[in-house]
Amino acid sequence: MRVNIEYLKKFINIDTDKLKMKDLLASIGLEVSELITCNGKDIFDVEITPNRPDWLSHYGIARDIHSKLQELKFSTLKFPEVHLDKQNEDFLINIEDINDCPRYTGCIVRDIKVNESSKEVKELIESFGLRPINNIVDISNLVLMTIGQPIHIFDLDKIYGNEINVRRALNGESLELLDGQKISLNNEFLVICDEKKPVAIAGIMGGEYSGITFETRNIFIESAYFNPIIIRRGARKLGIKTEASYRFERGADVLVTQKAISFVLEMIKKVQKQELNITYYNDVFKKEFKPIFIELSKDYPSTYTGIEIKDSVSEQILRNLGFKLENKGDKWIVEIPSYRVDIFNKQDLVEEIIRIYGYDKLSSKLPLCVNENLRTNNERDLINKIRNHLTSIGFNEVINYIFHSYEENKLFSDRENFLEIKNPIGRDFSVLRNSLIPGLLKNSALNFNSSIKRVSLFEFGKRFYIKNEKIREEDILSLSASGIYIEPNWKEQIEKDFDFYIFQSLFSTMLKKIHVKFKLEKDHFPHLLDECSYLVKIDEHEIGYIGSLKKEIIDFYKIDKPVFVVEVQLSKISKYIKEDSFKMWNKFPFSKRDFSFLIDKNIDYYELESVMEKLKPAIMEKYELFDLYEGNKIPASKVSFSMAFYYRSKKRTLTSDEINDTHIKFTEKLIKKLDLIQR
Amino acid sequence: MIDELKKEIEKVKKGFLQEIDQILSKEDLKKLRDKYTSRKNGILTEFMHNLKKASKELRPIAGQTINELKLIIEDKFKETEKTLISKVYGRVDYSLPEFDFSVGYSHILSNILTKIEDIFLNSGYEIAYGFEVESEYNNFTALNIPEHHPARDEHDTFFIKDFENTILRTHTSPVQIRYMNEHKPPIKIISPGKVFRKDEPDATHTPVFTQVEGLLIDKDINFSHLKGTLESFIKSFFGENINVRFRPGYFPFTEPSAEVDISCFLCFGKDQDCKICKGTGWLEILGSGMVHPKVLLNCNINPEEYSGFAFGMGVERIALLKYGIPDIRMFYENDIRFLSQFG
Repeated sequence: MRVNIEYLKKFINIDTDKLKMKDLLASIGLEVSELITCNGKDIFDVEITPNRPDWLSHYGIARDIHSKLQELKFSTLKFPEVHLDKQNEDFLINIEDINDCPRYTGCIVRDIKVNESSKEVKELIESFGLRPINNIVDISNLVLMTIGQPIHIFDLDKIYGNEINVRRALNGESLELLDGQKISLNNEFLVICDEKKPVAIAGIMGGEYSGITFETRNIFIESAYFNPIIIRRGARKLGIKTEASYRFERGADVLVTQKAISFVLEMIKKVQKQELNITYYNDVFKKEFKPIFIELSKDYPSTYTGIEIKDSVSEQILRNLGFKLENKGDKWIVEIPSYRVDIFNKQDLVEEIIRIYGYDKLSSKLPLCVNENLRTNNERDLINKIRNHLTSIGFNEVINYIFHSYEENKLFSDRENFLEIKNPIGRDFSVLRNSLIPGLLKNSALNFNSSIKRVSLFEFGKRFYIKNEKIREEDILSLSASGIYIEPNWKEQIEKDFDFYIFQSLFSTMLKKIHVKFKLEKDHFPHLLDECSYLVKIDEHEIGYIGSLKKEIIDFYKIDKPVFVVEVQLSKISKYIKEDSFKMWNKFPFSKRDFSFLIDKNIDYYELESVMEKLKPAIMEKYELFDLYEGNKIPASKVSFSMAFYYRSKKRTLTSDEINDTHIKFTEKLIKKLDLIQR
Repeated sequence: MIDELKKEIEKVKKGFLQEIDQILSKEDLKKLRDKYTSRKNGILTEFMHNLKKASKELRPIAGQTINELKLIIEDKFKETEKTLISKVYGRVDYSLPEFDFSVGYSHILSNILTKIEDIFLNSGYEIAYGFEVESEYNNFTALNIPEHHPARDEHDTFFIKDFENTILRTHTSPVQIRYMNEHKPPIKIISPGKVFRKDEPDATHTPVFTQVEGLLIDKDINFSHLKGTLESFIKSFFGENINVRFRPGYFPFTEPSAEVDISCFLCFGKDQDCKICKGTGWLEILGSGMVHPKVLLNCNINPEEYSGFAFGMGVERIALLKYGIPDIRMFYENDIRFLSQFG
């Protein structure tokens, strides 16, 4: 809200510089977002929190400043006495439902002249960020900005018949608004109607037809209280926010409608420079207003704030803010004024007291709260461990939005079990991601474009899908690698691109840290190359997939190099993680024997391994593959493996003869079993 | 004859010692070793070969002399191997550029989050996680933000299609609701995580951002406890010389509520044109307050018996301020030139 400092001084004699005033306002909860000058006057743009519609007026703000600075002279607003008992004109105000409109005050003034406002008034209106229209409309705005009550004034001669009806709109009704837009209405809107048709949308905006013009002679003044929920719903539906709807939807002061009209009349009288011909007045207030009473223990403000606040201080603050207090021994019965629609309980009252007393007077204490629930968070520990490991082997952590386009999700799934956003910010943000890989690919493309040669990334995050009509949210870790793995340097001109074996091995180092071994199993994934597409398993449990992306996928993200990816479920990893444990190592010396052989290409290493595991002699500790050859020196159906076998006993030093003997027996069995050709 | 041989051997020895001093790398060392000791054509091998031509009397003495040289050479090789480091141009040029080995960086938001979490973990707070897709009830209603409450305007919300009353959480407060429903006080948690608001991405908005919220509920908790807790956190995170200011604020789920400002760590309020605080000397960093009694009641906690406080902060905002980052979208672009500035 625009606060004109000079106008504010009409109510409170505040005389200080702008910056000090800004701090003062901040200290009572009014945040000045901008300092503006308008026609040479200082204006504060103040942010009003939605709970305080009573601050949406200069008088309301002055009231709070006064409770803070009691020593300043505060001019209580005196509403003019206007005799409003004349009802000599035959006119009716009908309210369909008093819940929609608890109070409606209306008044007819005849024989007025509409002119431009004086320069002074125009400048005042402009300083509030409004546009001067004419001396009648400007008065309604002036009243609004002064006491916060929205006033609407109709051209009486444009109102058909002798009645005003406050009712829900009928389906099919429409109205052209003051801003020129024509809207169609339905039962959700509350409207002000004449005998035939709507002339205004209650509390939001008036109709164009019945607006005040320079030709207007007779007027109907409306000062009402409308149900905040209906106004809010209507304004949202229309996408309109007016000064009136802004106040009504937050809650106006139901007790001020009549005073506001007298205020309007007084001002009109001033500009008309003559007694007004008021021919009709009615205040329809059928829904009884019941003020709220709150019991407040006198020691509660101190207990709840943790600092000592004297009873007299609390009492004075509340009274200055307009609360009525009744002393009842060790407590007060506090009556809440009608304009404070935000106060319901004793905590609200404590806020009022400490807000004015000063948040700066709070002390700093630490609570002696012992948390019995406190346990180590294993999930967080795992994530931190993985993050530390991956960054140390050259992977960068990224964080992406969780939104994808529909097409993107389809690239990564055969099924269309996506979670869609009803109101996305754009097509590319319309579904929740079913994989973290697209984010990594967008990041990779961006980095390749800025000539980064190695792009190896990872992300922790959630993926979403629907299963059995339920929403699934899974914690995922995804890695991608593309480009150069080893870059040449001045000493060694070696350059090595990422390939599947390097990628897989880097991934395995991460699992080594948590003592987990994985196995791969050939499988189909819609986004992975058929010849490089695998399930990742830990002890026969699927935890995710690994492979190389299909050409159409990397084309989609405009990347021109192979991209290797792995995506695993964190919950599964943490389930199969093996705790650190200690085992004494073997202190006897080991002996190594090499064995090179040709093996049929149909037999993969997993199969060879499983056979070796079965045939493994007791003294064989481990084996490793140290060379692999495929090519024209050997038959095309074969591959050559060179392996090293390590022999060691847990009890003694082995003799060379017994190792040779064991090794030969083992290799012979292996040759026989798998039809190997020794080299 | 023998003197001649001795002289020759002495010459070889001298040459060898000179040569081995120049050795720079393992490869060169191997070459030198081959030159002297290769079984095919090593210098020593040739000496031995030539011995056959020498007279019987001479042979033992010459053999001994050659063997002595052989021992010296082998010792020198072993010794050189031990001290061999990569030298260039006969010396180590320590000023040559180091190799650009790959190292990765954890994301700046993870770094800040971890630091915040660690401070609260050290004070006995537990970390609670929740769901990103939430019910309107947990996100709004339970937090004293009923339908048609104007505060819902400030949380532009993404709705999930085909699932009624289902949204992307607009803050991590639903985690607190879930936790309060499942635990009895005392409660002492922080809930970090992603939150979502329907904002078009621009320099100051992203539809996704990161929050950390905290909640403490116990008997006799008061507003000054909140101030003390946040002051202690802020000094741990930003430094001892940072001042803290509490201002009245409004959140539907706390009463009283407080906005928390810290003194500007760039200009300390001394620069009228300060880039970050715009001359005000203060930076808004946290929202907080005493948990609203309705929220406690919604979670079956008796507000007459227990009270508590809650607070929340945006991780991106802290990072933007701390490092003077000009555009919030940078956190989500993941340009390595950006990421690698924060270890």
